[in-house]
Amino acid sequence: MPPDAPPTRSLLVIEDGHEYEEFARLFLADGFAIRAAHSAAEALARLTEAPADAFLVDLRFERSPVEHLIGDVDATARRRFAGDVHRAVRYLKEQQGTLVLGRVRQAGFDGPAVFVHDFAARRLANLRKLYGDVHAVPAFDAEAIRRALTGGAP
Amino acid sequence: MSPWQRLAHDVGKYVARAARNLPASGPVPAVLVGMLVDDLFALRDGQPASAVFAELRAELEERGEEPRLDAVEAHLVAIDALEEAVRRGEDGAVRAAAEHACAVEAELRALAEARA
Repeated sequence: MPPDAPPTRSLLVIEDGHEYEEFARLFLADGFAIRAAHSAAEALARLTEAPADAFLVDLRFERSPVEHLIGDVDATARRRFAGDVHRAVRYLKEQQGTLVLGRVRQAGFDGPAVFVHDFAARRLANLRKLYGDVHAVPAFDAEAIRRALTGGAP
Repeated sequence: MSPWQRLAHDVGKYVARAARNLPASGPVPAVLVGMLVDDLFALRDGQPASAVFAELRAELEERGEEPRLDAVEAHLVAIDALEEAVRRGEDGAVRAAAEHACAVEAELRALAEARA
């Protein structure tokens, strides 16, 4: 691509804070037009405005208020934590990125999704079974993330 | 997420966000120095990485685990000693602090993997 040409691919960053978006704007903006969302609802709203070619997704949404989380707190508490709602909320926050990605996939957006996380191989395989084109890069390695976002091996 | 994974994630991953992506040579752009300053000295709620590390280390100690984290702490002490020079954008200090940050990331990840 010529140096001044606008990026032709679009990236939706999904996170509870701003660290991923800052990273993307600094290291990935030459290849992607970047937008950001901070909840499942916001992600789907951004995608309704315009689709995205790829997704950079935070796994843990610890700073999100409970009302912004997706996932059934009571059902999770009953099923996994003997009715302990606090542990259920913590669990949903720690897994929120994968749940949001599930909603994105349900809405028909199937571009590469990259987590900056050190998933165990079995967990990553399961995520791929559930959500298709999913990649995990264990660190904020700009080149590895760029490769994964374009569908290559990180 | 185990306390070891939390250390690797909350401190290791984020402390190296800019550090591992500095240009190999030449001056480090100011915008990258700014991100590095945030990662090292305002990692969470304005707290430096060393303070976030100390908080999580204390949790491990409360659980009676043998932390073996002295090497990581030494890197973070070195980073704190470089703060003024890094904030001024002095290239040698920026690169030295970034090396320490990458070492923190690598060591915390290795510790988390060893306990997985």
